[in-house]
Amino acid sequence: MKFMIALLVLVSLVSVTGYAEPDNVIGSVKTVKGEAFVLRGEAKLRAEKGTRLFVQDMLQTGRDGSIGVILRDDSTVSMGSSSKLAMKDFDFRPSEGIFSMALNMIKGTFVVVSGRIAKLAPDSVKLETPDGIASVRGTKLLVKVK
Amino acid sequence: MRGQRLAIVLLLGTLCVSCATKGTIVVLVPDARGHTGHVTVSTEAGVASLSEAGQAVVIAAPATKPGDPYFMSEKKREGIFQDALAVEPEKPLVFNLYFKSDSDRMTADSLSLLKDVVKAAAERDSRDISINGHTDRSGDADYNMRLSNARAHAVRAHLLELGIAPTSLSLAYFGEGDPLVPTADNVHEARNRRVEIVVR
Repeated sequence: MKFMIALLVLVSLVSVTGYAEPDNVIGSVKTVKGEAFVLRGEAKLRAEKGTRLFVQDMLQTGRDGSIGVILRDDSTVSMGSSSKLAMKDFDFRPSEGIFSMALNMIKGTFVVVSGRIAKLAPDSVKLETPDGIASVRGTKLLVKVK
Repeated sequence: MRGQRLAIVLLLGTLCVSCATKGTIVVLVPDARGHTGHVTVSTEAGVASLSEAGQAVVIAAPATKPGDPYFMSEKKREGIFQDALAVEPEKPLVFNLYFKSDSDRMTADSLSLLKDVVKAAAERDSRDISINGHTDRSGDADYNMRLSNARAHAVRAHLLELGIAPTSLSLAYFGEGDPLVPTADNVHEARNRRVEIVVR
């Protein structure tokens, strides 16, 4: 039922606001070394170049692993070994003026280069760690969460 | 869990002020174009701002203020972030292909640009290419929505013909809603009659 409503809403939106991927892809994996996974609900998928990403996905690397992803607003995120990150929120709809992005950095090392969301809506990019929140106006940041 | 963690941090804090075993470090660095941005770091107890290249801040715990910003050497940064920096993806490449008025046919220049798109996709071993269709604001919005869709599909057909895998392509269209050059309604603007291709 929920799905049907979502579908109806989506269909009714198409004529007004345009059409973007109905599957809500927010980005994809670009680089992988060693063991890296996408955690999606109960599933643990081995990350590969081209693996599509969705809101609520988590990225996790093994002890020798690292991974780099490109999101739909052209921002990039890479992470080193034994790291974990949740894609908490990502909404990039420039034709409607809707911009938001929140990454939850649970542990590890991260390199973030902000993209069009940070440029078009300053301070709307939030990087959350267990200790605090970084609001990003631009552009390149290194974050370590112990 | 949170309370336990805090207790540990506080305990360590009393033993050794500078060697917290938990916490977050945020470092602001120049991007690929040499530009340094700005970041604000906040906790329950305070805020710190970074705006200079190499500036770093440590947050020991959520209930403590962020530390005073300091400069972390490039050598130290590379030591800590080496493996994450080594897999940092290149920024995507964007191509704009232009179209004849009220048509899903590309201009001759744009047609010849397609081979550059294919070359870039091969060089990057790209598995994720977006095709975004747009129109200018002449004509009505519903019609332009359909036209932008037709343009996006025309580009998709060209790229498939040139050997790009269908699984690498995703298509979107926006009608007149996302112009490159903002204009009043019913204005012809060649730069808005476009399909944007993003090669990741």
